[in-house]
Amino acid sequence: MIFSVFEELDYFRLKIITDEKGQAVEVNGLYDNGYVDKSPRSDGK
Amino acid sequence: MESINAGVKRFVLMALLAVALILIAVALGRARTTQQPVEQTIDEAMQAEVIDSISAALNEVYVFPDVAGEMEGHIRKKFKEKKYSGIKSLREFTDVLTGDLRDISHDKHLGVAAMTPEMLERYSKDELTPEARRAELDRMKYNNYDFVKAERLKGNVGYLKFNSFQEAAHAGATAVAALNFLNHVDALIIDLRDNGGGNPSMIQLITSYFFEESVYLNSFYIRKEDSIQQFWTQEYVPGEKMTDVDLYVLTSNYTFSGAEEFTYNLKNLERATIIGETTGGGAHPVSERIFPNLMVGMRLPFGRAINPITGTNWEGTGVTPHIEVPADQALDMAYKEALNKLKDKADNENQKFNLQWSIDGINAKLSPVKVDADLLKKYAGVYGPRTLSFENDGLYYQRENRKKMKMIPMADDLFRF
Repeated sequence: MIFSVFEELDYFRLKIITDEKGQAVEVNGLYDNGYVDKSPRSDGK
Repeated sequence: MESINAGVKRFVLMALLAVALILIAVALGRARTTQQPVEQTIDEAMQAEVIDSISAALNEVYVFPDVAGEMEGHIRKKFKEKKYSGIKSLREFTDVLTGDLRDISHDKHLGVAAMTPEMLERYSKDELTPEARRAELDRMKYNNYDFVKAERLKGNVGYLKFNSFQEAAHAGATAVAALNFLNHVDALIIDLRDNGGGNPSMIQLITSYFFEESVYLNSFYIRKEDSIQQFWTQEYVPGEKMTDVDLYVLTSNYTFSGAEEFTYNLKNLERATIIGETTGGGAHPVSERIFPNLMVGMRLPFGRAINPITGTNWEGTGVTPHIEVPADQALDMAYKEALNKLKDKADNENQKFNLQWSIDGINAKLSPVKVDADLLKKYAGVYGPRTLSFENDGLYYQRENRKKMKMIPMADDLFRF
């Protein structure tokens, strides 16, 4: 039996936002309905 | 021109035979399950009897009379030269004979097999007993007539997988239910990678959903009667037809016989895109011939398919896909093709966004991205309720106390789960 490959969490992705020095400053949760959920970095690094 | 009664009788006979042939295929090496070995001994006199019997059957029925003669000559020559004299097992002898017959005919539907007493009991009768018939139908029903999956994928792409074409009189309702469930998709992927063939009535029924008018699909030439039987799609189907739906058929080198006919028909009617591997190459309808006194059965091709467009068939060559990829990649490839085509046709931004989302996902699977570990380590940190951590094998994501998930790169700065 050849198995279907469509079994995963496919409605959500994560994008890393960096500053001009390449430092990660924010993560954006992306949803398949177009909604974007932003979380700025909060550990002081 | 044959009478209608004769045609109906033969159709019914073919339908009944198809059920029996699914069973006998196990013994004759096409099915994937294994049968208990038959360890019966054989001597030279019995070998001669087997050769006489199968030669007579070939000359009487085999689709190409000249090839039947060549096959007889080949095995008689080998017998005369004592090439079979070392073989003491009936099972080994029938296997060798099958190979010798196929060396000449290149016909994968043709085969000889040793039979168990149980198999003889089952196949020697012209008709199954009512009890045996009921048991057979119960078994088919339990297996859902080999329909294994009907699913709506993201992007409104349908996926239908079934592993044989069973007689529409029994399996039709299941096929109709599956096609009605998928009736509103924009594209449909039909997975025949594990499908070894079956009954023409199911090919007719399923194909009928994809054409508005009645379409001439295929015909079978029957050698013994020197007759031709035509197969057309039906104008009426239960539920709505899917005439505007993009079709994709997945194939492997296991795809055989009726499953190849379905694929070949749709390919030549330019109704579907075929994706996967070249199919097995069997275009001859078969009957079985049992020799009870010899404990031997034979699968005997008695006709050949003739496609109305090409005037020929796929015997020996198989059906070549439009897009050739290993079978295990065919589904991803078909899904990608379907999504891209739908995106080109999409007429609103919301639909385009959804389709592009799925296209990005399938592209990431087909071409995995590797991100340098030093870059991933830089991403580790706390982002409000979200925490990214670098562990042994990569970057992990956790939101508050929810489940921790591994992040799979789609680009240097984009991840899926």
